[in-house]
Amino acid sequence: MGINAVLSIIRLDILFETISLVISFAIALAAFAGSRKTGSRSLTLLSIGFFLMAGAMLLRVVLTSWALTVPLSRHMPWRIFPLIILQTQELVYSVARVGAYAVFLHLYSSYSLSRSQQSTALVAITTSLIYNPFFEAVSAVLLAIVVYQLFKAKGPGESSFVIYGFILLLVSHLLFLALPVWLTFYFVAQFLQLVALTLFLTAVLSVFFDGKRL
Amino acid sequence: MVKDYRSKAKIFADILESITQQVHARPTKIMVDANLSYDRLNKYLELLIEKGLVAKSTNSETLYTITEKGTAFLDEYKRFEKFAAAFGLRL
Repeated sequence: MGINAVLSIIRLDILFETISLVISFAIALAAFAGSRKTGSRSLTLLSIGFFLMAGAMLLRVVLTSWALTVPLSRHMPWRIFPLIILQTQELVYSVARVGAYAVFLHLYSSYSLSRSQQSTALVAITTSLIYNPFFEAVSAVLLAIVVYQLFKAKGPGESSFVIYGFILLLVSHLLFLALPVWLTFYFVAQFLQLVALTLFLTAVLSVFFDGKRL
Repeated sequence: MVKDYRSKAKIFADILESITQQVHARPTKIMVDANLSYDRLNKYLELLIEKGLVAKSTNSETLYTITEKGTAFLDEYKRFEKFAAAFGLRL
């Protein structure tokens, strides 16, 4: 993939982010107006969540657009300056988004129309004790790249045990991410990890026995 | 879990809804519909009259009617109630 293709994707990303920003801001404004008129705490929290999201998106759109247009300096400290700004922006963006989702979690734990609001908070707290969503997400992304590289390098015909092993590992981390939806995913994910490791062991053993499969 | 409490606006809306249904509303019926004690109802009715959302008429008995401003407030409240419900939330 060339630099122009990457730039086109980033420009498209900025366009989508701008549209999302406008939508988030409109919802936040409507919820804010509602909270002022009715004194509703649920609408106040909803507006805070969407304002946080809109703020994060605005920061991303502005700084990414700036980084795309700023001419690269020839001198070293200034050459990496846009990169540092982008990385900082990505961190602030992620923190703001997570903050917005935490507000939404509190909102739906306290003011949901559904009667299962207590269990929403309980599941969130319980699952946070046994796994870290951030590391699960990072693991899933890294494993997706590994699986892609394995497919590209060898294809599904060869090294099947290893490829399927990594696919199962990837699926297990996705299931860990979906833990708040259904707690049984925890056991399914653990089982898939066991199967994945068994597949790796099978691949190793097959090398020892006939030198194939790995 | 956050205790279910009614905001002032919700109580206003409940009173206005009761008055709208009765057209010329008696305080005892409003008390039942809005689930309020006599003292609290009087306090809120005074506020609503002060804000121009409700009108009081005292001929043979005390009756309350909703004003245009009151109807507009109730409509707006219901709209925001639907907005919150669209997000799966209580107002």
